[in-house]
Amino acid sequence: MKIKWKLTLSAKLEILKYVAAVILVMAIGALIILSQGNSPVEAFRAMVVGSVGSPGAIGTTIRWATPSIITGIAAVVAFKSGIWNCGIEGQMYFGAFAAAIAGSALSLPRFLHIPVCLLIGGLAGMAFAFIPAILKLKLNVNELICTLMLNYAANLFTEYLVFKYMGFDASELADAIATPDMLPTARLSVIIPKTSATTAFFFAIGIAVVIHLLYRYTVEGYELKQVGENLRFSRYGGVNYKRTFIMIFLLSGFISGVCGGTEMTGAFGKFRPAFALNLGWDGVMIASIAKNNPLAVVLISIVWGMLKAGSFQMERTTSTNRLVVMVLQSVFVLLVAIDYEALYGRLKEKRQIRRLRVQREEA
Amino acid sequence: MLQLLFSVSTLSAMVRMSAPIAFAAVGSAYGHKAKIFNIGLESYVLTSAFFATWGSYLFESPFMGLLFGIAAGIVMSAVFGIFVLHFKSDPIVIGIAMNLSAWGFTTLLMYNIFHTRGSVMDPRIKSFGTVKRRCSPPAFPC
Repeated sequence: MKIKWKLTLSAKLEILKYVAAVILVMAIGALIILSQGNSPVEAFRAMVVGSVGSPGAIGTTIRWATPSIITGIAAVVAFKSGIWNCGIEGQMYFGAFAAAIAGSALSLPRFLHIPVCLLIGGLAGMAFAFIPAILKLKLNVNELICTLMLNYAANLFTEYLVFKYMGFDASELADAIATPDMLPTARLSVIIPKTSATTAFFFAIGIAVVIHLLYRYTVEGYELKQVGENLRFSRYGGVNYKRTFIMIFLLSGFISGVCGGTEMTGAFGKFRPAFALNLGWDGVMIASIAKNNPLAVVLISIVWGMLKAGSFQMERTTSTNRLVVMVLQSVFVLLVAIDYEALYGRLKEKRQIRRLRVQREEA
Repeated sequence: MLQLLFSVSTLSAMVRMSAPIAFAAVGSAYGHKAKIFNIGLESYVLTSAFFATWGSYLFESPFMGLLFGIAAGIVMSAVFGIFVLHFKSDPIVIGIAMNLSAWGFTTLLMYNIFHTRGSVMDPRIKSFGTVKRRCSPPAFPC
């Protein structure tokens, strides 16, 4: 029995889109690095060494891939249902704060302490995601703007909470402004020695697999997907939009809070204000590159982690600025967001019109 | 406390800080009329601010800086327009990506052109003068 491997046209266009985007991004990256006066080959080699060159490098990659996976899944859960939840970072801050407090104040045996910390982090993120959800339902506030603004509010409010909880005043050293260290029973174990790669990686992959199974094999997941694709049809089919909407927002907030919790129990160990620079936006970009597919999010987050770890090494050895990688990531998102199918359709249309015009002139 | 809230310094700081926000809001209002929800305004403001500083640095006049800033804003919104209107992508994703890329882009350019990573302070950069106050608070309005 022969298996026929035939790619549909849309699959071919997708592959073309990603390959073209990768090639263009590498070309633009080489241009930017050249303009800084460094050699692109050196920079790319430093990036490869820094991301997979040694066990320490692989540990750094895993450490940076983990929050990208979880925030990517949080963004996927929201965007797949058509809800623009850009407040992932704010929910993550609240979850991290709650998990840090739970880690240092409670004392439980280890197999209870870690899940309790993560759960409390998730619930705090969920509670913070409740605010924009209710505002959208009752007062029809645009949730994009609401969550964007609440990001800043969460950042500053958790800093204020740290001050209040620890009893500091403004004369404290900037380094010392943090919650107390979490107890060792609350810290996840390290998988590669001498790095910060923790078992949070397995949590992240577990969450991605659970969400993938939710979307593929359960009725709830199907309803969530339908709400995103065609709202009127799903309403007609009997989906209760209000309940689904709240559930999506709360789920997205829960996962963001869990991300904050894993950052605390895994790599950081205590809550320092403004600890995560743009981790939430990484998740949004990954979700848009992965076209809201949970398994693709895992793959792309690992590539993201490799880019980030490699950029640190690149900055150390070749003095290229680390922000080149961030610019390349954003350019990649821009290039992947192009709709090749519509372009191809328009190209075919133009060719058709030209052919008809030639035929009409001949006749 | 109320005295601090309504003092002249607060009001002048209010006017100073609301100027860029008002500009961005008025510009976005045009786009909103065209039913395109543009979340990438931060990238326009950031890029045009950088190019305005550079223009003022090159020509030692604030008006050339203004021209550079306007040109940079036009180019950035043209990029947004190409991606949203011609390639038919999602405006919100494009806006978010442009926000982050503008941050990295201007920092890179600042490092390349001014060779500094923090802020750029140079006596060659001239700005528009401040609005002079003609009377002091007890006689206000005069």
